[in-house]
Amino acid sequence: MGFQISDKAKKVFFGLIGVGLVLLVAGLFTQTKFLFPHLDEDHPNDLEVVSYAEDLDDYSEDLVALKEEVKNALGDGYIITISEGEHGHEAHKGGEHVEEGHEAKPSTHHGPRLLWNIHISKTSGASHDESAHDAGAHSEHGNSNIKHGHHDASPAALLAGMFESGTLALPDHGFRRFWSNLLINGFFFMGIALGAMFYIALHYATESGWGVVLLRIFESVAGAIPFGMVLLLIVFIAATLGFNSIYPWMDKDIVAHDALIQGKTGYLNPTFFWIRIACYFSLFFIFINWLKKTSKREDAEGGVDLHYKMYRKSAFFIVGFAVFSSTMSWDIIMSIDTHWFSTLFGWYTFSGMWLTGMITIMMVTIYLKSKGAVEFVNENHIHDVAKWVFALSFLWSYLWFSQFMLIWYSNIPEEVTYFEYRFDSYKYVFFTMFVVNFILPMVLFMSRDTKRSWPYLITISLIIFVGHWFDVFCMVMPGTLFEEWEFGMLEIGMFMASLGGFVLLIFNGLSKAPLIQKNHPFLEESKHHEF
Amino acid sequence: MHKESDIRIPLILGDKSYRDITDDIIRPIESKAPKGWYILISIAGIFALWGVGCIVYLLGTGIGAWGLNKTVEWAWDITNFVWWVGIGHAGTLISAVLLLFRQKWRMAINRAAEAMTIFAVMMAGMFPLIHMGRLWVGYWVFPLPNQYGSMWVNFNSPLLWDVFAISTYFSVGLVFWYIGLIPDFATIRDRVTKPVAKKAYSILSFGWTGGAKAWNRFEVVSLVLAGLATPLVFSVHSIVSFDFATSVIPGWHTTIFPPYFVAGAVFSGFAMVQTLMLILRKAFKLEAYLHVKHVEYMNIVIMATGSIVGVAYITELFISWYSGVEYEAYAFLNRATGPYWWAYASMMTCNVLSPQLMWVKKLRTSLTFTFILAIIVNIGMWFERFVIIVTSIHRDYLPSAWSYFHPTWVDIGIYAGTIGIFTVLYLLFARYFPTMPIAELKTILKSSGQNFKEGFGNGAGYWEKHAHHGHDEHQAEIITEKPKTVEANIEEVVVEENLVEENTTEDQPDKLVFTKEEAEVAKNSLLERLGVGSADNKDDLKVINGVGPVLESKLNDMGIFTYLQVSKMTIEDYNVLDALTGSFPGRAERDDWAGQASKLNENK
Amino acid sequence: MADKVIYAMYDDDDTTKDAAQHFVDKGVHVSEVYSPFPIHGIDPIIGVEQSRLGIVAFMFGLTGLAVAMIGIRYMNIIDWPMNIGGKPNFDFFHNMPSFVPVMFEFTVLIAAHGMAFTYLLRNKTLPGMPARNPDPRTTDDRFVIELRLEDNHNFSVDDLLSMAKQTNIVELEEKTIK
Repeated sequence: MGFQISDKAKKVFFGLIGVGLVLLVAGLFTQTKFLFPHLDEDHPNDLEVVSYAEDLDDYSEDLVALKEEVKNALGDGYIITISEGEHGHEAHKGGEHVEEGHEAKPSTHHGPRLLWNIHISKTSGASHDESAHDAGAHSEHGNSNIKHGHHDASPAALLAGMFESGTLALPDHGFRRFWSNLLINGFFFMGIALGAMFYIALHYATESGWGVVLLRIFESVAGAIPFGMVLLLIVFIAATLGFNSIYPWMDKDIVAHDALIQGKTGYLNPTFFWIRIACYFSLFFIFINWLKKTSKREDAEGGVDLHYKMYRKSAFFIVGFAVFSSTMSWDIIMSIDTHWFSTLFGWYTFSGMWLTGMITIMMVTIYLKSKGAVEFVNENHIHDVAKWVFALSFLWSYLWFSQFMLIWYSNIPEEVTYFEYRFDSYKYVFFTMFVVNFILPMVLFMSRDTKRSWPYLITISLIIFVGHWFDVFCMVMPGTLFEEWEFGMLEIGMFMASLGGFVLLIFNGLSKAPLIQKNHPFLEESKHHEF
Repeated sequence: MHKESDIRIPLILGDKSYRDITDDIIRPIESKAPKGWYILISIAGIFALWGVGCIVYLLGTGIGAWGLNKTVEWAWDITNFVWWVGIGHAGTLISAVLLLFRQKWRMAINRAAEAMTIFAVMMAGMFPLIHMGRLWVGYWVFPLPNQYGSMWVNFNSPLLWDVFAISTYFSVGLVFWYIGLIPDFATIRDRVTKPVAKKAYSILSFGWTGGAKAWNRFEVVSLVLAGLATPLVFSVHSIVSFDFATSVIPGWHTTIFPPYFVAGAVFSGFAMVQTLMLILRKAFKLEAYLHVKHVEYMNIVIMATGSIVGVAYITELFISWYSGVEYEAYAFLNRATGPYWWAYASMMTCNVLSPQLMWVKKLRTSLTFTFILAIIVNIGMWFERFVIIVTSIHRDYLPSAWSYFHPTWVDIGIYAGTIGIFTVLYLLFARYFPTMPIAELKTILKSSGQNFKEGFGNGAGYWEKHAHHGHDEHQAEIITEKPKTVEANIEEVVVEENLVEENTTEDQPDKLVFTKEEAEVAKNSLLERLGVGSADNKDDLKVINGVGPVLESKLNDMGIFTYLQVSKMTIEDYNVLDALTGSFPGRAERDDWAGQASKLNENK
Repeated sequence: MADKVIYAMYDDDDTTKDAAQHFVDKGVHVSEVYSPFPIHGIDPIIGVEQSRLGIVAFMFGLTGLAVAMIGIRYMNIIDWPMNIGGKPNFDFFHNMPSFVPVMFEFTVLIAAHGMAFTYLLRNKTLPGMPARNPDPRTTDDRFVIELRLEDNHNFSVDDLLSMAKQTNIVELEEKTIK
């Protein structure tokens, strides 16, 4: 039958899953950081601490203990008083940064469930003014300075540092970070499969000939779509049942206080959401399985009838996909930032999916080639896939830039908050992600020789692959974890485990059918593909 | 070269040879223009003159001659600008993107489409220039040092981006087009006999020789230029869309604009290519090179891009509601139900609904239907730009300033004028330039020519000899399943071919064979009839089509030196000559040496 | 120095390719092949290397990008900064998104024109240049292989002629050029 993965490779992937899961669990249990400090530049002796805990009742004992800890944290020289803010208070830092001079708008997200206003005063008459000056100077530059401003920082900054570093912390009972990661990985890996699926449909619909020898690889990558779907379904079910609150519009309390979300409930409501998700997932699932079955039948029966059938169905799939790929990314990703909207968002997300799909196909092809399993694939095929990676990187960058530049340029508050948020709190991830995903393929894949060198292709493509994972990261995290995001064992572990599982599923697909569609009418063209 | 799949429909129909391709494409240049051409160019010329008159009037009177008012500051002018730029997208897209995708069918249309691109961009560029009011200071859009000190252009302005985008697109498009034209000009140069034409084409062909190194460079340059032109195409219409999308006007500011404008541009560009090519193929009898399959491919592109545009319309509409921004929602509600509902309805019908008819195979393979639909799409795309521009601004934030736009005769005149100028340029192109890439078509003859694919005529037995691989068992089955649509066309062309062949074979007598003495006698009698020439007043016989250096020296050996002598030859003489020189029978007659020589003699 | 040249003419691209292979197999250096269209696969046979014009385009592109960046920075940041839409105009980097379109266009402009001009110069094709193809039919349907004696010192003219006759020639010509 098809390609049987070696036991050694199997072990590698199971190892990847194992290590990933261990890291994931370790990450979950060691995660202590949960309270997030905000310095106020006008009041250097005040500190605001917020938390987005799902259910504060779980923490009542921990909170009492922590309060004591905070009061003693700075030693004897200071008197620290904590007053609790109102429950459900509207945060001006929680969801959006509102431009000065504009009317404050209701926040995109729930406000913090916990709000402590900490006031620090000194027992002895130390240089009060100086520290006030310092704190002001620091906070002008935003968050980043708090981290390395410890040396002669104000007491408030010092305390903030303790919250930052996790010295003062609560355990995470809400698993918000876990759910966000599950969403990221689910969407990312489903996107890869979808990208591959779209490309097969395109290949049939445009009557392309060159890639016929790769079609089975495309099929297997696309066939691994249930992996991402299952992860996403877990997130959606949990969200609907109230185990997580990734989608603010699913939370009745929030909707009740938010006029903007109320205006969208005609579209964003759990029932309609599930109907749409059912439509998307069943279309994808049914199409790829039908295609796999039909191409196998073609192997057995020959002739061109089945080919034309696949040609027609693919064209119709593309139509469905054109609509669904947009609405799907609005539903799954854009609705996290419920207030925000961008017409280009769907196409932009889709370009990333398509690109990662092509990268995966290239990797699998190179692997199979190196194992000698696909002698009919020549270097020109891999070169062509590399060209796609190059072109799609350009397309992705173009769409990223179009969306970013237009919002940046017109600077309308309801739109620009999205990027301001990412600028303020995700600066390095956000920009590194773009630069890596744009410049690397742009410069390094331009030459013909680099597209024909495997080590080169593998290295660069893997970097871009991870880069696009961070693209999804930057789409999701600012909406779910706000500025209190972290990157650690949990993220790495879940990515590794997902990757391992996804790749195993691909190889499972590859083992089910011969690697070549021997009766495809364009097979000869593809076998002798050269340029 | 490898054989392509049997189920692919041949791109060149009939029994063509390399020579036939040259003949067919150059025929309009070598022969007299048909009456229709003169009629068309006269009509177009009148429109063009009227347009120029309107422009002059506008420049003399002021921009107020247009129907613009305080609220609607952009209307037909910018609509026409965007419309023409959009049309100007198909050419580069066909040659660049389809080249990168190795789509062979592009070769039927790329030359003409690129010409269309260049002319369309010229028309587009006129509108912003006129809009300045003072055409003569148009160069101020470039960052030039000037007497006002630090007065530089504003690089933050989308309008300036437009200047760079459009001028880059125009000049790169021109270079791309011309580099492809050079070898074809050389072909014409080496064939035409009239001295003026010869001189003209030899200047145009830049002395192209067609050596292997030159061809190698040619291919690399084409590929790299295609690689550069592809992002360029995307950037140009994106930048045009930035003119609107960077603003904060509801209905203009939306992030989907760049890719959606690009799709719209390709959509309208292909529609224009269809319109022009359907006429061209008929007028110049190029049906063998551009047949139903090509039209169908283009229709599929139109359908696909039309659908993308449709998805974008719906996205905009939906997000305007979803955004919860009331101004945004109103802008779209007003488009559909306000005073300009008719423009919106036309746009939706022409651009979204009508291309969906192309899903029906019968319709997308019907030439008449295609022609009508292409025109409908062009109208629809004009309305799209009108809807975006005018309906978004005609009702601004102050209801007291709400207004309605009425075009004046100057608006209409300039628009009609640009269509006229465009048509004049296009007709000149069609008359004097090779409308299809001769050299490139020859490269696909063996893989995509009907005779080679099916093994008759010139292509008989070719693939049996050259195939690098055995045929599949189901091949026979496939051939019988050839789609019916092309067959009608194939027949048409085959009939034409047969006519030509009958003419040439009919009066061809048996080949003469001489002994040595007979040969001497025949030669002398031949010279008697033709008159004696000498090496002193010798003409360059190589100029005669069909005479090469070898043959020339043979003729010289026999005592034939001048055009005058050759011009006196009859069929009998040709046969004698064939026997004497041992060259190919029928060649001299087929090429009509005598006719050529007498012309050359007159022009000497 | 006068040099002898042999022109072997063919009427098909595949025959030409086979003939070129035939010459090369015998150790003859094929000086040039004239054809009406690019013959695919002949370059490696006669030893024509892949053109490096792509690199030329890249270099020109870099130049264009640099010129655009320097020019914009000078004009809109240093010499005459303007406040557009409240965006900081005293700093190139923070204002870059709105400079990207012109930077891109200028890069493409210089890359395309630079390469095209280099191409024309390398091919010696400029307005008014004389055509140097040995026979006018080579731009129509004839293919000519050029063998220069200068390049083939080990062979006599007769050697080359007899070799050419073994191939599927249509016409054969021997010429002296200066």
